[in-house]
Amino acid sequence: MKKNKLNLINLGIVGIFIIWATFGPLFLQTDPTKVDISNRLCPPNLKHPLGTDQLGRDIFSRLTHGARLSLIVSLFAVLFATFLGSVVGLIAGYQGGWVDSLIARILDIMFSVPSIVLAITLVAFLGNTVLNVIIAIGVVYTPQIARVIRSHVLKIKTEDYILAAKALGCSTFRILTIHVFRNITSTLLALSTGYLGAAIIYEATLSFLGMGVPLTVQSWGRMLSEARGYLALAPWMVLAPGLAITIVVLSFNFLGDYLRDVLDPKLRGYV
Amino acid sequence: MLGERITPQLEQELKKLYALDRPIYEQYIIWLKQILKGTWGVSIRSQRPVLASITSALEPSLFLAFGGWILSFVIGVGTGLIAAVYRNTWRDYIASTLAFIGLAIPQFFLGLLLMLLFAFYLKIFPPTGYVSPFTNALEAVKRLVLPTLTIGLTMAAMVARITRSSVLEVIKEDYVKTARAKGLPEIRVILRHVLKPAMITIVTVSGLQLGYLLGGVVVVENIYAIPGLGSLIVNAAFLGDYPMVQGCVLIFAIWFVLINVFVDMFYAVLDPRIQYE
Repeated sequence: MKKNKLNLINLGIVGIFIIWATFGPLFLQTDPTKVDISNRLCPPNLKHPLGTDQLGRDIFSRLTHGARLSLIVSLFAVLFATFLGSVVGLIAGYQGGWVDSLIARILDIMFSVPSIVLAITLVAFLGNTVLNVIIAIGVVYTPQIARVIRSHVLKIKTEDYILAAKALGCSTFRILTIHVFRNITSTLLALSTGYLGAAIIYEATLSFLGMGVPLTVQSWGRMLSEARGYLALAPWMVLAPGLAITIVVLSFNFLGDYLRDVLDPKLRGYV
Repeated sequence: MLGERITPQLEQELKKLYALDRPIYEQYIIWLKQILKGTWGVSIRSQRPVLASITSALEPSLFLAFGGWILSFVIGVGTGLIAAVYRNTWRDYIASTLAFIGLAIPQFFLGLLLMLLFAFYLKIFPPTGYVSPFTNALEAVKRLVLPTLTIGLTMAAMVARITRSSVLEVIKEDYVKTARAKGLPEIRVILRHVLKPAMITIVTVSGLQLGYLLGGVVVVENIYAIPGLGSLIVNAAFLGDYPMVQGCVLIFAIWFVLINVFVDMFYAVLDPRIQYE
């Protein structure tokens, strides 16, 4: 009963976040880039519900546009990682032999570098655009998904129905897509939902460090980064984006945990 | 790096200087040679050997990494243990909720909150900067408290969750019942018979975290303006100083491998059944 209520609340928050991020920017009266120096560092008031920043821009408006970026980046980064990770995991697990060893070594190399450093390095080499941030975060999660999928495939490979499919003369592609992949979809869903929240944090971290999206795009991470210089003068500049990230990520994490427990309890410890 | 002033001739000379006109595998071999020579290449920006910059940035990062790690271990194992021993009571709910919030709160937000509270409102600690403990120990500790706390608290959340689940697994075992039945005090049962076998998982996760921590201090070093490896790689990446980025990534990987070897060796101490040839 208690658990159900909690899940309902989290589902509500995630739902509101998605609606806010998708439709919010369309209904905004204020432009997030409108500079108004005479009204800089205003505390929250009726005209600016969350106050204004160092250039007099409306914080609520920036937050709304930032929500859209967070949603887009985390969704596509996780999709990217899920696709690439499951392809790599399927091939490594099913093929075995030297292909598996080679892929495993490459994954090991990627694991040996702290993920945030990997993301920074990738953005540094690729250039900072929204697409490259998505790619960088996606690449960070690919080995993690590939590893789990590989271990699942290794188990499924020995099942009788795979042998039966082989005996019937199914092609490798058909076995992989229809007989193996279908059986790991629930695992994949649970796994990737668990990464959505963390992907939001990664985008914000990259933007906070100045290695994220270009300056013309609103990002929660950069809002926090800009707020640093006005910490004592305008604490609302820190609190608004900071609390937004924390609440959204918290709900995504709870929801991911719930999905994992329902779809694949054995994943505990991986996510 | 020259921007507007570039001429084709200058471009050629620069490419030659950094061996950028060679094929990629030759560049790699040149880089390997520089590693063996002990310079690790030359920074495009500062013209200093990369290894020299890395060694001078290593000290703050090591202090932060170890300080944060010890703190996270103590807080994490403590909270996780309380949550597991008093499972499904208010103590567990509070501890688990805190751990969940700790996983969701971004390091840079927590860091700024701590800075706001302790440096600006309470004025106990200075907001930013770094002083080497070897020159002025008291001042160094004062400046290290907030960054260490930021790392420790965010990482403790993960340790607490792992501790809770692995202790819950052990606590159901028959030998725990036996230990209680023979009249051992509860604290001894928990510490000797429950925590010790649960430690294997905890040490694995915690060790992995320490392995990532040398690079994981990037955000905290950025907030508190600490001249460590994290600041080094972010600045290098920002300025397109590729030899420096390569060097930093290499040192992170070396550290990761070293820590993992130590963790593997430590298993044998925790579980005498594990033996290495």
